[in-house]
Amino acid sequence: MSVGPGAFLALAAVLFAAGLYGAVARRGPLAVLMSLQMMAIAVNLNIVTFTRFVTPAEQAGKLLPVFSLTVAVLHLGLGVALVSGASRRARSVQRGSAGPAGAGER
Amino acid sequence: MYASDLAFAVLALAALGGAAGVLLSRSTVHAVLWSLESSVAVAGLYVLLSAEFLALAVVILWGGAASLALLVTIAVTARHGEPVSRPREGSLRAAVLAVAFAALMLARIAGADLATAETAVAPRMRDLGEALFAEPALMAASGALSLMLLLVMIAGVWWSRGGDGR
Repeated sequence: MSVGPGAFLALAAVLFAAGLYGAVARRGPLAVLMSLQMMAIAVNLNIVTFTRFVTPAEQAGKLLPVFSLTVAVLHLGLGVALVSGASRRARSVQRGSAGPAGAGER
Repeated sequence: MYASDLAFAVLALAALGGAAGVLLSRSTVHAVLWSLESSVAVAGLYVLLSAEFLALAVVILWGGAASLALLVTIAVTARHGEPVSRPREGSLRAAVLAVAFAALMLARIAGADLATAETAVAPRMRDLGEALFAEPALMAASGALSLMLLLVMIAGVWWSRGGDGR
Protein backbone atom coordinates (compact mmCIF):
# COMPACT_ATOMS: atom_id res chain seq x y z
CA MET A 1 0.00 0.00 0.00
CA SER A 2 1.48 3.33 -0.98
CA VAL A 3 -0.65 5.50 1.31
CA GLY A 4 1.49 6.14 4.38
CA PRO A 5 0.49 6.58 8.01
CA GLY A 6 0.60 10.36 7.67
CA ALA A 7 -2.48 10.40 5.44
CA PHE A 8 -4.52 8.32 7.90
CA LEU A 9 -3.33 10.38 10.87
CA ALA A 10 -4.16 13.63 9.06
CA LEU A 11 -7.65 12.35 8.24
CA ALA A 12 -8.12 11.31 11.89
CA ALA A 13 -6.98 14.76 13.06
CA VAL A 14 -9.49 16.50 10.79
CA LEU A 15 -12.29 14.14 11.88
CA PHE A 16 -11.42 14.76 15.55
CA ALA A 17 -11.40 18.53 14.99
CA ALA A 18 -14.81 18.32 13.31
CA GLY A 19 -16.14 16.34 16.26
CA LEU A 20 -14.60 18.83 18.67
CA TYR A 21 -16.36 21.69 16.88
CA GLY A 22 -19.68 19.85 17.04
CA ALA A 23 -19.28 18.92 20.71
CA VAL A 24 -18.55 22.54 21.67
CA ALA A 25 -20.86 24.41 19.29
CA ARG A 26 -24.00 22.26 19.13
CA ARG A 27 -26.61 22.49 21.86
CA GLY A 28 -28.82 19.48 21.23
CA PRO A 29 -27.79 16.46 23.35
CA LEU A 30 -28.08 14.04 20.43
CA ALA A 31 -25.97 16.32 18.21
CA VAL A 32 -23.32 16.45 20.95
CA LEU A 33 -23.45 12.64 21.24
CA MET A 34 -22.93 12.28 17.50
CA SER A 35 -19.97 14.67 17.66
CA LEU A 36 -18.44 12.64 20.49
CA GLN A 37 -19.02 9.55 18.35
CA MET A 38 -17.05 11.21 15.55
CA MET A 39 -14.19 11.95 17.96
CA ALA A 40 -14.18 8.32 19.13
CA ILE A 41 -14.03 7.14 15.50
CA ALA A 42 -11.02 9.40 14.91
CA VAL A 43 -9.25 8.05 18.01
CA ASN A 44 -9.88 4.49 16.86
CA LEU A 45 -8.55 5.32 13.39
CA ASN A 46 -5.35 6.59 15.04
CA ILE A 47 -4.94 3.39 17.07
CA VAL A 48 -5.49 1.17 14.02
CA THR A 49 -3.06 3.26 11.94
CA PHE A 50 -0.29 2.99 14.52
CA THR A 51 -0.95 -0.73 14.93
CA ARG A 52 -0.82 -1.32 11.19
CA PHE A 53 2.25 0.74 10.41
CA VAL A 54 4.36 0.58 13.58
CA THR A 55 3.60 -2.76 15.28
CA PRO A 56 1.65 -4.87 12.74
CA ALA A 57 2.54 -8.21 14.35
CA GLU A 58 1.27 -7.23 17.83
CA GLN A 59 -2.08 -8.85 18.51
CA ALA A 60 -2.89 -6.68 21.51
CA GLY A 61 -2.77 -3.65 19.21
CA LYS A 62 -5.50 -5.20 17.09
CA LEU A 63 -7.70 -5.86 20.12
CA LEU A 64 -7.27 -2.47 21.78
CA PRO A 65 -9.54 -0.69 19.23
CA VAL A 66 -12.24 -3.29 19.91
CA PHE A 67 -12.19 -2.38 23.62
CA SER A 68 -12.08 1.32 22.77
CA LEU A 69 -15.00 0.92 20.37
CA THR A 70 -17.03 -0.91 23.02
CA VAL A 71 -16.40 1.84 25.58
CA ALA A 72 -17.44 4.45 23.00
CA VAL A 73 -20.68 2.56 22.35
CA LEU A 74 -21.20 2.36 26.14
CA HIS A 75 -21.03 6.13 26.46
CA LEU A 76 -23.43 6.52 23.56
CA GLY A 77 -25.86 4.08 25.21
CA LEU A 78 -25.68 5.96 28.49
CA GLY A 79 -26.17 9.27 26.69
CA VAL A 80 -29.21 7.97 24.84
CA ALA A 81 -30.67 6.67 28.14
CA LEU A 82 -30.06 10.03 29.82
CA VAL A 83 -31.72 11.94 26.94
CA SER A 84 -34.68 9.58 27.02
CA GLY A 85 -35.01 9.87 30.81
CA ALA A 86 -34.70 13.66 30.76
CA SER A 87 -37.38 13.88 28.07
CA ARG A 88 -39.68 11.65 30.10
CA ARG A 89 -39.12 13.74 33.23
CA ALA A 90 -39.74 17.00 31.32
CA ARG A 91 -43.04 15.63 30.04
CA SER A 92 -44.21 14.60 33.49
CA VAL A 93 -43.36 18.10 34.81
CA GLN A 94 -45.31 19.59 31.94
CA ARG A 95 -48.27 17.36 32.71
CA GLY A 96 -48.21 18.44 36.37
CA SER A 97 -48.05 22.17 35.61
CA ALA A 98 -51.03 24.54 35.86
CA GLY A 99 -53.38 24.74 32.90
CA PRO A 100 -56.14 22.79 31.24
CA ALA A 101 -56.02 19.03 31.81
CA GLY A 102 -53.95 17.29 29.19
CA ALA A 103 -52.61 20.55 27.75
CA GLY A 104 -49.02 19.60 28.40
CA GLU A 105 -49.29 16.10 27.04
CA ARG A 106 -47.32 15.00 23.97
CA MET B 1 -1.57 5.38 -8.80
CA TYR B 2 -2.43 2.25 -6.85
CA ALA B 3 -5.99 1.06 -6.38
CA SER B 4 -5.49 1.46 -2.62
CA ASP B 5 -4.66 5.15 -3.12
CA LEU B 6 -7.88 5.65 -5.04
CA ALA B 7 -9.83 3.71 -2.42
CA PHE B 8 -8.27 5.80 0.34
CA ALA B 9 -9.14 9.04 -1.47
CA VAL B 10 -12.77 7.99 -2.01
CA LEU B 11 -13.23 6.68 1.56
CA ALA B 12 -11.51 9.71 3.12
CA LEU B 13 -13.75 12.06 1.12
CA ALA B 14 -16.80 10.05 2.15
CA ALA B 15 -15.76 10.14 5.84
CA LEU B 16 -15.13 13.90 5.73
CA GLY B 17 -18.34 14.49 3.79
CA GLY B 18 -20.28 12.53 6.40
CA ALA B 19 -18.66 14.54 9.19
CA ALA B 20 -19.56 17.79 7.42
CA GLY B 21 -23.10 16.49 6.96
CA VAL B 22 -23.42 15.77 10.69
CA LEU B 23 -22.29 19.29 11.54
CA LEU B 24 -24.24 21.16 8.88
CA SER B 25 -27.54 19.33 8.62
CA ARG B 26 -30.45 20.98 10.37
CA SER B 27 -32.46 17.81 10.80
CA THR B 28 -31.31 15.45 13.57
CA VAL B 29 -32.49 12.44 11.55
CA HIS B 30 -30.37 13.56 8.58
CA ALA B 31 -27.41 14.04 10.94
CA VAL B 32 -27.77 10.43 12.13
CA LEU B 33 -27.81 9.23 8.51
CA TRP B 34 -24.69 11.28 7.71
CA SER B 35 -23.04 9.82 10.79
CA LEU B 36 -23.92 6.33 9.53
CA GLU B 37 -22.35 7.14 6.15
CA SER B 38 -19.18 8.43 7.84
CA SER B 39 -18.96 5.29 10.02
CA VAL B 40 -19.23 2.99 7.01
CA ALA B 41 -16.53 4.98 5.20
CA VAL B 42 -14.23 4.65 8.22
CA ALA B 43 -14.97 0.90 8.27
CA GLY B 44 -13.72 0.83 4.67
CA LEU B 45 -10.53 2.56 5.83
CA TYR B 46 -10.10 -0.17 8.48
CA VAL B 47 -10.25 -2.75 5.69
CA LEU B 48 -7.46 -0.85 3.91
CA LEU B 49 -5.49 -1.05 7.16
CA SER B 50 -5.98 -4.84 7.32
CA ALA B 51 -8.32 -4.62 10.32
CA GLU B 52 -11.28 -6.49 8.85
CA PHE B 53 -12.61 -7.64 12.23
CA LEU B 54 -12.74 -4.08 13.51
CA ALA B 55 -14.41 -2.93 10.28
CA LEU B 56 -17.12 -5.52 10.85
CA ALA B 57 -17.50 -4.41 14.48
CA VAL B 58 -17.79 -0.76 13.41
CA VAL B 59 -20.50 -1.56 10.86
CA ILE B 60 -22.45 -3.64 13.38
CA LEU B 61 -21.98 -1.39 16.43
CA TRP B 62 -21.78 2.14 15.02
CA GLY B 63 -23.66 1.62 11.80
CA GLY B 64 -26.31 -0.70 13.18
CA ALA B 65 -26.82 -0.48 16.94
CA ALA B 66 -25.77 3.11 17.61
CA SER B 67 -27.64 4.62 14.64
CA LEU B 68 -30.74 2.62 15.49
CA ALA B 69 -30.55 3.72 19.15
CA LEU B 70 -30.22 7.37 18.07
CA LEU B 71 -33.14 7.12 15.63
CA VAL B 72 -35.36 5.42 18.24
CA THR B 73 -34.43 8.12 20.77
CA ILE B 74 -35.38 10.83 18.28
CA ALA B 75 -38.68 9.07 17.64
CA VAL B 76 -39.40 8.66 21.36
CA THR B 77 -38.35 12.11 22.53
CA ALA B 78 -39.75 14.20 19.64
CA ARG B 79 -42.92 15.92 20.75
CA HIS B 80 -45.97 15.86 18.58
CA GLY B 81 -46.07 18.86 16.25
CA GLU B 82 -42.53 19.95 17.13
CA PRO B 83 -40.13 19.98 14.17
CA VAL B 84 -37.17 17.63 14.50
CA SER B 85 -34.97 20.12 12.65
CA ARG B 86 -33.45 23.04 14.50
CA PRO B 87 -31.87 26.28 13.37
CA ARG B 88 -28.23 25.90 12.39
CA GLU B 89 -25.96 26.50 15.36
CA GLY B 90 -22.48 27.91 15.13
CA SER B 91 -19.85 29.23 17.41
CA LEU B 92 -16.82 31.27 16.42
CA ARG B 93 -14.88 30.16 19.49
CA ALA B 94 -15.58 26.49 18.76
CA ALA B 95 -14.51 26.98 15.13
CA VAL B 96 -11.27 28.68 16.21
CA LEU B 97 -10.61 25.87 18.71
CA ALA B 98 -11.22 23.15 16.11
CA VAL B 99 -9.14 24.86 13.40
CA ALA B 100 -6.28 25.50 15.84
CA PHE B 101 -6.36 21.86 16.96
CA ALA B 102 -6.39 20.57 13.37
CA ALA B 103 -3.58 22.93 12.32
CA LEU B 104 -1.43 21.89 15.29
CA MET B 105 -1.96 18.20 14.65
CA LEU B 106 -1.38 18.48 10.89
CA ALA B 107 1.84 20.45 11.47
CA ARG B 108 3.06 17.80 13.92
CA ILE B 109 2.14 14.97 11.52
CA ALA B 110 3.87 16.70 8.59
CA GLY B 111 7.04 17.19 10.64
CA ALA B 112 7.11 13.72 12.20
CA ASP B 113 9.36 10.94 11.00
CA LEU B 114 6.91 8.06 10.93
CA ALA B 115 8.88 4.85 10.61
CA THR B 116 6.80 2.06 9.12
CA ALA B 117 7.11 -1.70 9.42
CA GLU B 118 5.08 -2.79 6.43
CA THR B 119 6.82 -6.08 5.85
CA ALA B 120 5.40 -7.81 8.91
CA VAL B 121 2.33 -9.94 8.40
CA ALA B 122 -0.89 -8.78 10.02
CA PRO B 123 -2.42 -11.35 12.44
CA ARG B 124 -5.43 -13.34 11.26
CA MET B 125 -8.79 -13.28 13.00
CA ARG B 126 -8.12 -16.76 14.45
CA ASP B 127 -4.90 -15.46 16.01
CA LEU B 128 -6.80 -12.56 17.55
CA GLY B 129 -9.36 -14.89 19.09
CA GLU B 130 -6.64 -17.14 20.49
CA ALA B 131 -4.79 -14.14 21.92
CA LEU B 132 -7.97 -12.92 23.58
CA PHE B 133 -8.38 -16.17 25.50
CA ALA B 134 -4.69 -16.97 26.01
CA GLU B 135 -3.42 -13.66 27.40
CA PRO B 136 -4.57 -13.25 31.03
CA ALA B 137 -4.49 -9.45 30.80
CA LEU B 138 -6.69 -9.39 27.70
CA MET B 139 -9.05 -11.92 29.22
CA ALA B 140 -9.35 -9.81 32.39
CA ALA B 141 -9.94 -6.69 30.30
CA SER B 142 -12.70 -8.36 28.27
CA GLY B 143 -14.29 -9.65 31.49
CA ALA B 144 -14.23 -6.17 33.01
CA LEU B 145 -15.71 -4.76 29.83
CA SER B 146 -18.52 -7.32 29.88
CA LEU B 147 -19.31 -6.40 33.50
CA MET B 148 -19.30 -2.72 32.54
CA LEU B 149 -21.68 -3.44 29.66
CA LEU B 150 -24.09 -5.17 32.06
CA LEU B 151 -23.94 -2.28 34.55
CA VAL B 152 -24.48 0.29 31.81
CA MET B 153 -27.44 -1.67 30.49
CA ILE B 154 -29.04 -1.70 33.96
CA ALA B 155 -28.26 2.00 34.47
CA GLY B 156 -29.62 2.81 31.02
CA VAL B 157 -32.92 1.06 31.73
CA TRP B 158 -33.17 2.81 35.13
CA TRP B 159 -32.38 6.26 33.73
CA SER B 160 -34.63 5.94 30.70
CA ARG B 161 -37.52 5.12 33.04
CA GLY B 162 -37.00 8.48 34.72
CA GLY B 163 -34.46 7.51 37.37
CA ASP B 164 -37.05 6.90 40.08
CA GLY B 165 -37.83 3.26 39.35
CA ARG B 166 -41.41 3.95 38.28
